Order: sequence, then structure tokens, then C-alpha cells
Amino acid sequence: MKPMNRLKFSSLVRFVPILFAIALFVLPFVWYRHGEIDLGGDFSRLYLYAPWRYLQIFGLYSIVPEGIGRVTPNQYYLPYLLFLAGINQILRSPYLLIHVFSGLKLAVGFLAMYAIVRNFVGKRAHHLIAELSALLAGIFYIFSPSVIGNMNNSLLSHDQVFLNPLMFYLMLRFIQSKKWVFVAVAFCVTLLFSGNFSWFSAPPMFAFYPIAIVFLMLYAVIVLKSKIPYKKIGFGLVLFLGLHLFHLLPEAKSLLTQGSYTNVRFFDRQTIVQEGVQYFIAVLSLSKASLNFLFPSTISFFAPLVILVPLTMILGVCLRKTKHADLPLVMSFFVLTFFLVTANITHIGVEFYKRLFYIPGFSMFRNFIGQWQFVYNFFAALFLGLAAEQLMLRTKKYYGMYFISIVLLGVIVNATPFISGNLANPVRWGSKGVRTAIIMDPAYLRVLDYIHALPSDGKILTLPFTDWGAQVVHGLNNAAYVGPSTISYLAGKPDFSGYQMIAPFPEIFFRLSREKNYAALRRLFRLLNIRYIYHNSAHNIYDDIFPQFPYTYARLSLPDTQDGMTELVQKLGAKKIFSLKSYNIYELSDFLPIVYVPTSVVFYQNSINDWYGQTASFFINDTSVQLRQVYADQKDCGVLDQRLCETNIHVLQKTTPKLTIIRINPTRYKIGVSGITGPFLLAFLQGYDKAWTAYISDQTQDGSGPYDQSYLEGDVKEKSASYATDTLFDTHFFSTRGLKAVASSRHILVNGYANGWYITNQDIDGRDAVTIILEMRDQKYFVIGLTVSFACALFLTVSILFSIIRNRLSGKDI
Amino acid sequence: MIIQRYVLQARKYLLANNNAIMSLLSSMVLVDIFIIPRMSDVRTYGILFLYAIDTWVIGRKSKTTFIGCLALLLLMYVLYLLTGTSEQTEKVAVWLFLLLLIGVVQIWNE
Repeated sequence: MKPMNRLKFSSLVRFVPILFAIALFVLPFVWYRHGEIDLGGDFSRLYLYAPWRYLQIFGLYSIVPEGIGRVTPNQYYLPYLLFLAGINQILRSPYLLIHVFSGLKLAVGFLAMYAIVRNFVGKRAHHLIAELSALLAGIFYIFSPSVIGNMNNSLLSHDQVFLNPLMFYLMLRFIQSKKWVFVAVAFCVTLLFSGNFSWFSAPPMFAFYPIAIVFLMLYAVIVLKSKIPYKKIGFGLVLFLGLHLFHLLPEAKSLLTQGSYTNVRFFDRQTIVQEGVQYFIAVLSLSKASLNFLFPSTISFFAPLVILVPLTMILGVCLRKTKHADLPLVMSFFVLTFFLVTANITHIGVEFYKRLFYIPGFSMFRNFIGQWQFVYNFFAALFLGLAAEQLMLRTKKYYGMYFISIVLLGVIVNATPFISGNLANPVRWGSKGVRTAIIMDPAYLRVLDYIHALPSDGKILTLPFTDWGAQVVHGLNNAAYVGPSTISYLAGKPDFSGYQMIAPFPEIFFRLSREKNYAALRRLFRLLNIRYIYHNSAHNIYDDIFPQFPYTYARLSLPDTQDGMTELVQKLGAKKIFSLKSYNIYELSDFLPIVYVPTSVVFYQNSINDWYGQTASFFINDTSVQLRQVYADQKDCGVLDQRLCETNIHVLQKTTPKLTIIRINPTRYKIGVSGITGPFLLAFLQGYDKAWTAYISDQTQDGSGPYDQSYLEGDVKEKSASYATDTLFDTHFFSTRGLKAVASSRHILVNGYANGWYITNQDIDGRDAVTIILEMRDQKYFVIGLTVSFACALFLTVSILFSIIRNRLSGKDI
Repeated sequence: MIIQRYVLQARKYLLANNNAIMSLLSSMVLVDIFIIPRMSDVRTYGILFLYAIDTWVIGRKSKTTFIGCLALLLLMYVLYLLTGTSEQTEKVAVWLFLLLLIGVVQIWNE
């Protein structure tokens, strides 16, 4: 090759990664037809469909917006949802928003991996060798089995595919240059994608970052022979915690609350054994060491190509020329992560792995293959890049480059099913030819708007009912969304769409349905505050189109056809209030408002040890038909009145106080109580949690206010509200400070899942009218954390600007 | 002093019979993969321990270990094409991992 041509060729090579990145960015647009979006999955991607709504409904409050409304911190997505909402304002299309983000994940993931390897090898190798090594690492990382084998999760559900290499690159540049700007950019990225740095994403976060940080520290000491900037790292850590305090503080509170979901999974030894070790043993046989070495394609035709990548790795090590310690370091981490992702390395290896689960928190890695996959792939790509460099350095002329080009081609050919889009829109498992990417039906959006405009009080039951907390929404094309309820997350109406959502009553619900006990079903719906039934009677979401998943178990108890579902709704006596195409909404006449004062209490014994809170003990055999009845555990009878312990059913009051309800937001309700003649029980039909507190305010709430809903013969009036009228900070946000709270000992579990407070004359100082503020205390942790996070973000912005201005003035780099 | 003398003697002996020892160890690995049906930790770590001792005493370079890895990789590849993820393929993969681990330790010592 002539020198001039070689120069031109070298210049052209620089554009190759950019061309690759552009091609990767465009890929998702090639896979899907215009308007097709894949939103489904266990956690779904409904936030990409309507980020602003999702933020208002889900992202601000520590209450799950579906089912009985359990207390769980959900604020981790706040900056991300704000960012998405901003972008959506420009793009104005969920299709564009989703695929722009998917494209960016691929392109940034590739570029970051490329940049890391380029950074490692750039200074010591010929730039063509460096380019080729970095390209191979980047392409291999993006087309690795962890990405293409499960692309629904890797590309659509989470951000590891690009965040891991991007954060690693920024940390590496900081270690190399000690420049603050890399840390600042890294912090901005963590804030923007805060969901990935929350407890919600703990497994992938704790799988990658501790290992990456240890690697970089060793790299600084062994390879760069520089000191670790402990002070800067310490300061950075504090700033990181401060930036993320808005979600870390509520999450820490949840973790440290004894008996909470996270607390039990973290510290309870029995749970660790049951859900950690046993799960690990169950999935152990799925792990194959050979597959982790060979990175096979999904198409068996390409099986002979599997040798290329591991051969390059081993050949590179065999031919290792340079004395740089980076390759041994990368190899060490490759071996470590190989063990973590494989686990099945001799009996001693498996026993050692089992012991790790007794470290508090390690049980999050029980699904070890999925959790370590990205970390392993990251170090495998790094290893491949460095090994390719060594191989090219040691081979004569261009032979090494030719070989690596063949490997690169092999990696690309291996990923053909991914590139061609064959994996992008698969047929839904359990369905008859229904695909995953839907074109949203505009009529269904009108349904959601209608539901959104309904009075806030009263939850929804969705039919057909599913085996887990999913809803099936069919699109205009032959595809369906299967994921968390769109009614809950997009219309803001708590919805019971599946088995898990209706806990603690799923088995009772199924049993009553099998027995066609419609009266008992209505009683159950009353207890659950169910006011509406949403029934999509289309055959394409049930019947023989979805013969199995997600209805396999529900079908055993509920009608097997859509016609049967319609009959069920009719038998329940529900009145149709909306109908559009196959979408129908019904209203039940006798429903219990979210807050009410029961007239009688039924005590039950926890005699049947059923899995969901002994609810069968009191529900099935009860034949009383009183509307304003409440069920309580016999052990709590003393809380109300010792004398009550002798009877099973007790009439509390003949004349009950009148209530006026104002919903401020899902974590705060103001209840005006008037006409009090004695102690009374206040039932609040939200999931029981100790964080819910009833404060007694001196102010009285005027019953003649703007209340447009009236229930229980006018005893309960309510101001109609929805998530759109919810206020995060009402004018009296800290008004409960200093107020007297009803003693926590008189905060009891009622109706098997809800909150109840027994309010005595002492609590209300003998007055006949008071205002009770029901507040979920944990929400305050979010507000405190948000204030600190805002201050830290301000500090970060000011420090970046200050740094830029100062360096501009002195003529230095940032 | 005594230990050093023994090590020197052992080194001389092992160096003189290096090929025979390597052949023996390789044969043991192959027997473990192809003839003995189940995986045994005593066998696996026993062979590995012998190899590690031999390597330490004669000061074998990591490159030799990695060439062993290369041979195992090719064996695993052939078995994968012929039998998929069979027990034998998995055994080779585990051997490959363990040898790679020894190789990494050797690299750091070098």
C-alpha cells in the first residue's frame, strides 16, 4: 500500500466506529413498523408511553397505584421521568421516544466499550491495531448473548447495556486524568438514570459497580502506578449519596423497618434459605460453563463460529508480548466474573457459592445467571479487545489484522437474528400467533381518559382476570401488551387485574367464582373498595387466542369464555356506564368508600392457616349482609373494648359520625368527622402499614364544602379527586407536626388487609367534631431527601460552571 | 536449607522427566473427561494440585498453561459441535476454567 493511500485509509478507519454507532442507533427503527411499541413485561415500560402521567401517578408517592395500594418507595425514577417527559414534549410520539432510547442504548453502549479499549491500547499499539481491537470489543459487547439472547430486558427494560460501560469509561478517565469534570458528568448520568442506582435495581448495580471500582483502583495502583485519590473519592461518595437521597432515604427507611418486604429479604435467615439458596439450587442446572466460554448464537447454523471469540482470547494470552499489567488484571476479573456467572464449577465451588448467600443482601443474586451476565460480558469484551491487540502485535504483517477482521465478521454474522429484527417482535408465549409490539388502539385511549375522569374513590376490577398482576391490551395490529395494569399506571385508578393484585383474597375470589356465590363476591368487592368493573369483551385477548398464559390458573375458576365473563358481570348486578367497541365499564351500586365508620365489627379467629393472611377464616362462612361491617382479628378485640372479646359480632354504634373526605394525594387524606357521640372505629381501605398515621386536628372541616359525591345514605361525602388534582405539597404540608396522633396500639388490621383506628373520647378531647388527617409518614422521608438532593444538584451545577469559567480564564482544560 | 535442598532435587528430577509428567497429568485429565462418568472434586483438585506443585517447582511459564488452555478449548469446541452441552463438554469447560485460573496466578507471579 502506498504511503498516501495508507494515510487515507487510516483517516477513514476513524469514521468506522461512528458509522457503526449510527447503524446501531437506526436498528430499532428498522425492526418495528411505524407506531409499533413493545411496552410489556413484568415491570413494563408504560413510563415511556406517557412519562408525565406515570410520574404523577407512580413516581412521586410511596404508594403502589394498583391493587390495595401497598406502601413502597417508588421515587427512584423521578429525574428520569422528568427527562423523558421533556423529550416527549419535543418528539410527541411514544414510538419515537421508545426507539430513540433503544437506539441510544445500543450506540452509547458500543461507543463506551470501544472508547475503554481504545483508551487501554491506544498509546502503545499502532492506531489500526488499536482501532480494530476496540471495534471488536465494542461490537462483541453489543452483540453478546446477554444482549441479543434476551433483548426484551436488555434493551427495553433496563439500562445496563450502556450504563455499565459508560460509567466505567467516565471513572477510568477520572482515575487517569484526576479531572473533576468526569466525575461531574458521571454524577449527572447517575441522577438522570437514578432508577438504576436505587434499591429497585440493587442486583445489577451491586453486581457491576463494586467490581468495577475495585478494578479501577487496582488499575490505578498496578498499571498507572499512581495513588488512589481517597479524599476525592470520599467527597464524591458523599455527593453521590446526597444527589440520590430523594430515593435512598425512603428506601433506607423501608430496609430498616422490621418486617418490611426488603428488610425480610435482606436479614431474615429463613427467607435467605428459602428464597436465596433454594432458588439458587433450583436454577443451578441451567448454568453451563461451556456456553459461557463459547458465546453461541441463537441459530444453530452458526455454531461452528463459536470458536472465534474464545480462540482469540486464549491465542492473545499465549502470544502476549507486552509487559503491561492491564491484560493480567482484566483476565483476573474475567475469571472472577466467569465463576460468578457460572457457579457450577466443581462441588467445592458450588458449596462456596451457597455460603455467599448468607451474607446479608447477597440473596439478591439468587438468579445469578441473569444478574452477573452483563458484568461478565463487560469483562469478556475487555479481555477480547486486549487479547486481540496482543495477537495483532505478535503476528507478522497484516495476518493478525486479517484474523481479527474475520473474528469481527463472525461476531456480526452470529448476531444476524438480532440485526435482522427476528428477535425484536416475537410471538407471545402461550398465545396463538399474537406478537408483542402493539399499535395502540385510539379507542382504548378514550377508555383510559374516561376512567381517569371517574371519581377518585372506588377501585376497579379488570376482566378477564389474569394469573399474576397483569392486564392484556390488544393493539390495532395482531399484537398485545401483557404487563402491569394500564388502568392503574396510565389512568391513575387502582385496579385489581390479576391474582397477586387481589391479595389477600385471590383464593377466596376464585372459590366464590367457582361456587357462583355472587352475593359473597359483591361483599368481597365492597371490602376491597371496588366500585367499577372494566371488561374488555374482545375475543382476541382471551378465549382461544390466549389459551394459556396469562390465564392458565384463573381459567380454572373464572368463566372460560368472554361470553361467560359478560354473564358474570350481569349476575353481579353491575350497571353499564360506558361502552366503546369491546370496552365496557360497569358500576356496582353498593360500594364502601375508602374511609368509613363501621356500624359493627366481626371478630374472627386465625384458625385456618392459609397463605394470604387467614382471610378465609372470617370471610367464607360469614352470612351476615350488613353493609358497614368490618372484620378484625380476635386478638385485637382488647384494643377496642375488653368486653367485646366475649362476642363474635359486636354492634359498635347505632348512630355513626358523618364524614367528609378530601383527598390531597395518595399519601394524605383530610377527614372531617362530625356528630361524634362516643368512641368509634375509622376504617381506611388502603393496604395496612404502620407508616399510616391518624392525626387529630383542632380544625373542623365544613360539611357543606365542595363535596360532589355522597355515599352510605349521605353519611360520607367526598370531594371528587384524581391523580390530576393531587398535590404533592399542599399548603399545610407540615401541618401534622405537633398534632396528636392516635396511639399506634389502636391502629389495627381490618378486613384482612386495611387500616383501622379505634378513636376514643380521649383522642378527640370529648369534642363532637374534629378533622382527622390520615398521613403516610414515610412520604416525608422523600420530601426531606428531595430537598437535600436538590441542594446537591445545585452545588454540582455551580461547581461545574465555576470550574469551566475558572479554567477558561486561566486557559486550561476543565 | 533442608527444604531448599529437597526442592532442588525435586526440581532436577521433575525437569528431567517433564515430558513424562506432563503426559501423565494430561492422560489423567483425559481419563477424567472421557472415561470416568461423574465429576469428583478429589480427583479434579488432586490433579490440579499436582500440576500446580510441578509448575511451582520447575518454574514453568504461564504460556505452557495457556497452551494447555488452548488444547482444552479446541477439545471443548469439538465436543460442543458433536454433543452440545453434554457432561463431557461441561467437564472440559470446568478444566479449562481451572487451568485459566492457574495461568492467571502464574502471570501475576511472573
